[in-house]
Amino acid sequence: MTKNPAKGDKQQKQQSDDKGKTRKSGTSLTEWVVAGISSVALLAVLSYLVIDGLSARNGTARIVVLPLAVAATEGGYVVEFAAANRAGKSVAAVEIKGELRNGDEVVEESSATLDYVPQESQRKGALIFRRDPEAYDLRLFASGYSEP
Amino acid sequence: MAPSEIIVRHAPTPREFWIGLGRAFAGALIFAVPVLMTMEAWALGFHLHPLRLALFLAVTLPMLVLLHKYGGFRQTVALRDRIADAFVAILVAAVAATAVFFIFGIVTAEMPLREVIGKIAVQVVPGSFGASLARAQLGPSSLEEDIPEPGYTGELFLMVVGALFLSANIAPTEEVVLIAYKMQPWQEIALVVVTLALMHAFVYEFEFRGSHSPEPGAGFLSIFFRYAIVGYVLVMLVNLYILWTFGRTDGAGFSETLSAVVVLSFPGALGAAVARLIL
Repeated sequence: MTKNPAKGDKQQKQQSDDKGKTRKSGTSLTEWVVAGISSVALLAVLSYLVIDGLSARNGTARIVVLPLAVAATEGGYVVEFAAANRAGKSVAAVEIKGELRNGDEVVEESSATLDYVPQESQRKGALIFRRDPEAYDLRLFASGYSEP
Repeated sequence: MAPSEIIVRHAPTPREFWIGLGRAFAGALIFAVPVLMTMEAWALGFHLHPLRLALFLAVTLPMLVLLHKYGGFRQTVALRDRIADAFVAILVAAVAATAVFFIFGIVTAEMPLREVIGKIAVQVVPGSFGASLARAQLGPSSLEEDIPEPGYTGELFLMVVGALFLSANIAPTEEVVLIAYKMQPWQEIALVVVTLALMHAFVYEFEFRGSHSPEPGAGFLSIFFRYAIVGYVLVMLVNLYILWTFGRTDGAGFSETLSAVVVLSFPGALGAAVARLIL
């Protein structure tokens, strides 16, 4: 068995052709295109961050909790909620509380903790009640948070 | 036909560019995967101060340009080629982080732009260094002989890069601050001594691959003071900067900050010591 010489020749020929085209420049056109896209993207991200950083950032978080759906399960009534942070400041360990009220009387309480609610974002979770929330006045609110 | 081999090495063909790009992706993934899979790093993306994050990104670019003098994913000589390479490394890191985050479900289409940009921007720093280190690690070793030997400033710069790279991997975690809380002052002193000893030993005493004496004939004290001590101080400054960037120094007292810097300087110094060996 001998090696096929034609294949080796072809490769060498291609190498020398490419060499002729790109020898003068250290960077190929493809790379300049990629580098160009990257520089535009980086500049855009930097400008975005700087503008965001210079714009007034609200000192207090405004957390609005809205119920999404109620489902009856074997483990109780699951109330799904979305907690939206309307401020430009992220918060951590957000305590979400839910109350079932009958007039002024609190019939049942439940709570859940969200790890993070970033600025201008919402996070979802659920509270579980033993009584049917449809039969009572359901109140959802955030009772506290820590700064990350 | 034989002489063409030598010339081709300096003239990147499109095929060589794609191979380099592939290596850069591999490097970005391998070196950034610890940060990609760290929960605190995701959270940093949105609660980090945007100006500090912007500065962190802006500082990365000149560091990469300088780094490509000694490493990088292809053979580069001219400054403008190194600038092009640095931008490519940043894009590679951003694309790799975006892809991984979408697959992990850490970044979703419904997320606000600020959160997505923040999460990915935090990953760009370790990722782009990884992409740049890829050639030194994954590329053919036959090219190594062409890399210029760094002088004293070059050696110190590589130490800073090594520290920045390893510290940026570890600084986002809560463990740095937790370890700082747990340590008694005498334990901190012991950590400084051990770190300095390791730093010196790793580079100049043990016979690691590529290990070399920077200045043959120089005595122990000269090497120790001019490399280990100066290197360690630089590592501490780098770590102070990283901790400040990640908001770990906000509201912390002097001793608390110093403890965190000493703790983070342990991996930082190892990175600094090994940087010279892997590059």
